[in-house]
Amino acid sequence: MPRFSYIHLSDTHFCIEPVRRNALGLMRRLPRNRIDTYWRQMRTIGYLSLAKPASYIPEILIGAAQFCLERPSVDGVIFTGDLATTGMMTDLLVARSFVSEPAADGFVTENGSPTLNVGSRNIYVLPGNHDKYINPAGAPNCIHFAMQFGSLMRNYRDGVGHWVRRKGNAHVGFIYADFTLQTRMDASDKFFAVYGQGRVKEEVLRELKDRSFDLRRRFEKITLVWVLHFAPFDCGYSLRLHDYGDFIDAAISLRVAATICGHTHRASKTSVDGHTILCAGSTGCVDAEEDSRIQVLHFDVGKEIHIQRENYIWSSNEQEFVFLSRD
Amino acid sequence: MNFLPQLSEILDPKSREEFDVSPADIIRSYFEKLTPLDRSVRGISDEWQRLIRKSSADETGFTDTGGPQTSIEHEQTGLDLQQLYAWWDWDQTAQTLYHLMGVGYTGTVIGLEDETSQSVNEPSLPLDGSFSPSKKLAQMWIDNIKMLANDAGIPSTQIALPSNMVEAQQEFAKSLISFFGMIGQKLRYSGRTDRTVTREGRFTSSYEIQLCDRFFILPSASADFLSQLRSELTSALASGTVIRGAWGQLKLDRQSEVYFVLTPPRILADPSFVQSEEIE
Repeated sequence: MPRFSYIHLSDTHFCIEPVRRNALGLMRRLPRNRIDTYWRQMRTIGYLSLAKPASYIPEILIGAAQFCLERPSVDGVIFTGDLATTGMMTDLLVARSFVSEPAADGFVTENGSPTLNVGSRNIYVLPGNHDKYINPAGAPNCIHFAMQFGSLMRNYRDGVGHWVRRKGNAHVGFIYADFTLQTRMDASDKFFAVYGQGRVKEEVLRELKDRSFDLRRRFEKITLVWVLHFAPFDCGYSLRLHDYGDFIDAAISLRVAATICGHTHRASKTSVDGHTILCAGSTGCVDAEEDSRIQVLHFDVGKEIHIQRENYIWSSNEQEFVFLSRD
Repeated sequence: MNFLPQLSEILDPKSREEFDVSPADIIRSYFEKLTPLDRSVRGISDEWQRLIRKSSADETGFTDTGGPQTSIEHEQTGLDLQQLYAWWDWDQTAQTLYHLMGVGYTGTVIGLEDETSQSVNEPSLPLDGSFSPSKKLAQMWIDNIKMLANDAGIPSTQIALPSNMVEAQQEFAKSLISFFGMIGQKLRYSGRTDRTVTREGRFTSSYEIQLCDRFFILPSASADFLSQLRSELTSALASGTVIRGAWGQLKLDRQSEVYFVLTPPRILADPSFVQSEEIE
């Protein structure tokens, strides 16, 4: 049975200031720690630091590059959004270096920064809500991401892209969609919700379905996997993907084998009417310092498709990602 | 009171009356048991959040006394006033929590000199090895940060620092071990063969620069800092302290120079794996 394997990263939040924290990040921590840090930070550098989106921990991203180097037997690396903490060029360029700059020695570039670009690795990316921030205040729909990562977004048009891989007689098609906000008005409120919410736009969902029909028509018995940044389940007000029910209904009716996503910074695997949702944890964001994750996804394609996931977690003792579980 | 199983019921205001739960209990349980992300995962609605905020205001009589009132604050943030109040809303909740839980938050700035400040220590991660810097070394680190802050125009009493010397030592050790782990992992997969950390009684120049960068040490203070650090590191290793990780280990040679002993690189290649072909 042919096996397609991918390393799944998400929500790295690269940024020009590596360990910048913010209020959204603080809210994910234990209350007593959160309040303490909150007050300290507010008194130290004022509200501005709280409003700025959170960033990453360099050691953990070095570990992620090492993890990918150690595993050449995969078909690629899938990055489900929030590569950078904002869509400003200063932040995106740090993410781009990590994704695209060629390795010069081991998993580091000529200037010593970590990179995934070792050998002829296939890397697939799509934007998350942070990647589309025009500024630290979260104004949506920045165009810089497509400028920086367009070459890694295969067959992308009208908010949807795809790639198809073949092994023997088996085909797997990955179709990804961008459900980030177009305007502040797309969010539930214009102030707080705009930072974390997304919306299943009708025209993007239609294109997603059309693309699925098209691949089904051209590749007999193709296995389809949908990829997006936002989690298509209830994850609370601030992280909500509006109309995610429409997305799930479409995935089930089109017999899509699985959905891959990120956004929540908490790894999970759920199933809705046989449709599997594989949600990645964050890889190295400051609010995931003690729960940074990498997932390896295996798709065994035969008469039926079997999906298996290996979960790895960052160990500060070992200074590398260690195996956690298999589900 | 076993409160959590009843959360979904309490979302209904009628049920809330039946349970005879005071807003203070709601807030205490809410914060003690559930992080915001937990709330998100459990799908607790924004209506519930609003209920808590309203309840907290009613119960405690908390008033908004510290919001961004001045145009100066407004300019500093670069946000409009409504955005600031969105943040401030969470701040209010935080203060309310302190009020309800009886935590004596004093509002003082946390610094090394004022060890009587009410503070909650950050938890330290367990790290392999037992290296601990001296108070002198940790103090040098803190002093340099304060000098940098002073040069940047930030009063030294208003910097976010470890709340006491023990925490400062823990943080220093954590950062140092993480530093060597990071370098060790890079070296492990590198073509470079030089494993030397110290030579002729000092850190090699590459490490000197990186260590000063890591700990924010000013050039004028770097000689003392590096000398003290090297001395304590070699003493610790000589007395049996182990600094190691998956990357390998720091060791001392016969001349008491520090060097890396690295774990061989690990490549988990599956010989039976055949990479798929991208056809579009």
